[in-house]
Amino acid sequence: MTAYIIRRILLLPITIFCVTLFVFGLYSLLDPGMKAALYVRDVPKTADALQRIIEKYGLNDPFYLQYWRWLNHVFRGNLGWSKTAQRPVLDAILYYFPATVELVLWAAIPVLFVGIWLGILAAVHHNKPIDHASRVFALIGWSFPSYVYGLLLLMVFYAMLHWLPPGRVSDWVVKEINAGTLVFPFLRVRPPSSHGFLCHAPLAAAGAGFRLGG
Amino acid sequence: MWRKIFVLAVIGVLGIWAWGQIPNPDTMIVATIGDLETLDPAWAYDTASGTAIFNIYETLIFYEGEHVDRFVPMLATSWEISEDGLVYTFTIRKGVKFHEGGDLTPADVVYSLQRALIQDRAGGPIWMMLDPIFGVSSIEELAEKLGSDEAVYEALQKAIRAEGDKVIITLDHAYGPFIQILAGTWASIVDKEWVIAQGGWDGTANWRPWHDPAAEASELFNKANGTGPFKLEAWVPGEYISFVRNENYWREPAKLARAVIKVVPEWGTRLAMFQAGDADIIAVPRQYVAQMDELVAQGKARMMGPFPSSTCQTGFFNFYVTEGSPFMPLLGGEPKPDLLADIHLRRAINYAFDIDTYIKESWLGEAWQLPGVIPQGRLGYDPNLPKYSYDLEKAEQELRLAWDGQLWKQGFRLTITYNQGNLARKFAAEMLERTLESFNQKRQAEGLRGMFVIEVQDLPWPSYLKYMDAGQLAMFFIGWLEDYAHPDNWVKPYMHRTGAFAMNQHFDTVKNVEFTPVYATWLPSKTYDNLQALFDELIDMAARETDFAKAEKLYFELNRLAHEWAINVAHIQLLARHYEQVWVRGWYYNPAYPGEYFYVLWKG
Repeated sequence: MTAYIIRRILLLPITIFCVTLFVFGLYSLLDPGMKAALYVRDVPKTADALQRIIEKYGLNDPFYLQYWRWLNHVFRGNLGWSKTAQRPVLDAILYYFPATVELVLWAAIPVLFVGIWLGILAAVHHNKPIDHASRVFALIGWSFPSYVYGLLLLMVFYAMLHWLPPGRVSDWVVKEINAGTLVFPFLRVRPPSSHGFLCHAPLAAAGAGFRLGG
Repeated sequence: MWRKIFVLAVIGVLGIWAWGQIPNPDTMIVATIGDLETLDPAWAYDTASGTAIFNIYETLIFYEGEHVDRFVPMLATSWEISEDGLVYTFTIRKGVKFHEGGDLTPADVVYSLQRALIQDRAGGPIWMMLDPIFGVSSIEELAEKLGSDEAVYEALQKAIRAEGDKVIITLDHAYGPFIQILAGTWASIVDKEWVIAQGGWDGTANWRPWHDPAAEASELFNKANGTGPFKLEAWVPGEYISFVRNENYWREPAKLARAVIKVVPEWGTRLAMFQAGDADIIAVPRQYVAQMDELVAQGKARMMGPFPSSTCQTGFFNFYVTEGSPFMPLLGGEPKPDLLADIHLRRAINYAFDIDTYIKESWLGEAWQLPGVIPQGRLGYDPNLPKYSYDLEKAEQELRLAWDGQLWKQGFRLTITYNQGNLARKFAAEMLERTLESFNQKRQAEGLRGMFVIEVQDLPWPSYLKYMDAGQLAMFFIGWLEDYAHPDNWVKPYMHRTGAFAMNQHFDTVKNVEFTPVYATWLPSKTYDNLQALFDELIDMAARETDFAKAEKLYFELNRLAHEWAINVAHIQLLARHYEQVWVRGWYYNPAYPGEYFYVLWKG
């Protein structure tokens, strides 16, 4: 077993290399013009606009050269620039990760307590109304799209009752992760904004929890 | 019992008190869809970046209120344009301070404009200034033309220079819209010393290292130091950007102490924020206006508009599809790259397009058809110019005339493309498909073989752009958002050989074009080598024309020609609405603004 695990671990870099080569190979099937167009949001305003982008990023270079350039960056810890997050990809992962962790943690509460409690109840009262009710509840949880459910929660608890405003989650997990006490001690994350809303967490957790618990 | 009544009374009183309060009375909160790309004025070319920049930075001149053709002095106290339209002299305002404390000097103005010109990032806005100043579309083109980077630097010193308290800009050719271009965010004035201290261009002939940076590589990507009414407080990408009032502003300081633009991509969340009073102004996509109108009816929101926006949507004809295109048109089963060069076919397509249904279904009625290419609100627009209307009889007549009757007899195949996911464009293309193919019945009854085949094809954005850029799309639907509020920014892209669309439409396929002026009657009747040559001459003439009345006539003429030659189909101007809380004050619509101009807004 140990030998097997060691063998797998040793094979890992080769697997990763092959996968990246394959993905990069697929990408290189795109014509340089199409790759350049990914950098342009709008219609090019001048005749040479796309050509200039092709030259700037070396999109016309042979496959091995582009791959080598990418590999070089990755080995220096540069995963590239995320246009959506407007920051380096690595930064973006570290920045958004705490939010995910917090959401999962809060969601675990309804999942564990309500979910297990309902499950036990259903098992004890097999084929009784309580069993049917919990099944219907679970079915709704699974089949209801989370974005619709999320919107409903927002409408009721935020727009109507003004209890739980949306926004970035609290600083709590960020601080814990920062201090290295939670889950991934190796992550060092800059806290996002200081005006996090603690009350956001229960709402998001209720949303996620309903889905999972259901 | 009494306790219950007491609690209810307290809740009631609190409720009434809270109801009468304006939340965050000195902070304006806008919830919008997209985040900005950069804070560097020379790099920015999207409206979200433009909105942040025009609240922080200022230009030499600026639009007067709602007008797009009247200007007020900003960092220039006055300006003069030489009679030949080539030399612009600006007197620079004294006593203006940048947010970080630096004084505004003519040297800052010269540096700002020169810095923008040498930066000229690929796909950026600087072509607008390079064309009138040097007659080129990129600084690299100028370097090639002049032979060296030093020569470019010398040319820059000549074209933009300071003299005492004045800055003098000398153009390559007279150019009417130049003043509009100088009011754009790309012409914002930065503090020379401060930018250099941030690692920016040092103002010497060695400019290459600062040319064409990636967004994040620019020294001004995420910091800002302008002269404007607001200072940058914080930008958290993907979340929000906030501004605080500049207390040392050279005009009266802003009424708002703070302004925040939040990035809230989901409509439901934006609406909830609005209902909770946590957002004062929200972006409302067209499909959701009904939900907002309900709030307006209840007195819980205010709607302004609809206003004629600075965006149009159009179907374009390519007069000569470039070889190797997967969308090569066929005539009677044979490849026919110039299928759409026939004016009868283009007119037939215009008559076959049910524009009213399109506007109703795709734009919920919030658009109107334009005669020619220039939208309402710009010089040269005239609602009385002729438009095509939906008329199947006329469409049939034109189809029978196309290609000397061959098209009707032998049939044709044409691919109409649009970018994936754009439902309005899809609707337009499919409607044309149905109408044009419906003539097959009549043709079959006449015993004709070969069909009219219209293929509707969606393409992912990158492929769409690539094929468009290669001149390989036969017919395509796309939109145009104005860069500068001037008719030149419409006739150029739609009709000029260097224009964003026209350069891929090959109008020069139509040879020996006779021209007799209808509006610009001082022009001689003459025969042009091709249609493109005619368009180019009139467009260049109009842009250089310093006489307002004459320029207008030339734009009328261009609109008339666009219609007569049916160079496109379904050209519509979209209307824009604005929704705000009832306590928002001071808002007005200027289509040239990239977004909310916080200086004029307050709550009360």
